[in-house]
Amino acid sequence: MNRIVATIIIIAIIISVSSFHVYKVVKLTDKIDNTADIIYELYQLDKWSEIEAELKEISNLWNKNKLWAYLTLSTNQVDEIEISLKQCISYSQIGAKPDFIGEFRMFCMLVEHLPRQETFSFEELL
Amino acid sequence: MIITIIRTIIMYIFVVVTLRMMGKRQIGELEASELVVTIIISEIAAMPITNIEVPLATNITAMLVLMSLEVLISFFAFKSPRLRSFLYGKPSVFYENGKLNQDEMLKQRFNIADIMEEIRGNGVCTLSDVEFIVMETNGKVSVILKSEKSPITPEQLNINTDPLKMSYIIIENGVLIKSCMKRLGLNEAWLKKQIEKQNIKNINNVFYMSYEYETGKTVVIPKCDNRRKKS
Repeated sequence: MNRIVATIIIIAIIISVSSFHVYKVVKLTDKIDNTADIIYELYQLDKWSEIEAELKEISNLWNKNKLWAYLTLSTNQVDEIEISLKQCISYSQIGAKPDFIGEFRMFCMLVEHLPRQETFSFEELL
Repeated sequence: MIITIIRTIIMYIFVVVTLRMMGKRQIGELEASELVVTIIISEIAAMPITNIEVPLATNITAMLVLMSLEVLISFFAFKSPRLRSFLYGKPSVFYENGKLNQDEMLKQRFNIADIMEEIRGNGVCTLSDVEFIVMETNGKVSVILKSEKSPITPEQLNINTDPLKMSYIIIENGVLIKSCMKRLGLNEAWLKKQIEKQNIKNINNVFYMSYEYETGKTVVIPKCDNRRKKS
């Protein structure tokens, strides 16, 4: 009977930790998504210093929540996101317009993929 | 390298805990599904050790989910015979009333050579000495001899036998097993008296001591001299 109780406790812990993890990842991607919309608008207006500031905000947000991403993402995936973000910051600093938009789209796609990977979707299931 | 060592230690702890939670049965006694779960768990445990890019938490979660499923399913199978036969199947009778059940043998892909191998393994040379041959749900084959060919028991000869006596270990390698002492209702004064009878002054110098509850008989084996000096 003790074994059953321990198993039920383990299941409860798994469900609560994974729910909290999903909540954290979804919240993180939502915030990045909102900031990305602002960056696209700033990009049209060529406001590079403000773009850089927004990207640094994304970077801070990512660093704060990185631990949750490390729980389920492979090191490669995390590295790809971080390298892409750093590239975006570098391009924004030198005002390289075509390079920046390509890299930033890539970064947004990498982040957008996270909730699909962490929450339930048939595509990921299959 | 340090990461690999730490990961190995973590996974080792999780594998031991997981297998302990799944129960005490040995590999040969596991049902097919239990064996598969055990193999999958060991595979999952190996992945983050050899590949540090794989997240540890994902694999630990997978191991714990498998273990939980196994424990819960075993619990419900214990409660429901119908679920048990659905999950683990039913024993297959290959030989009964002097006849081989060929349909069942075909179903289990068990041929006559396998049957003969099993009966020889049980010290029998001919099928005519056998009453039943049954394949159990864990894949083991039980060979049950005809009553006239079975070994004679004391009961058949009307011989009275003493009840079996269980021996409990009280001291193991100089360590007193207090829970056992408490269960048997023994105290330290009694213990001291017993070891002094063997000219041993300290519990640390006892390698093994057991107690027979029914007869009160004790067996005391002291540590050999060179080990005694060390302790």
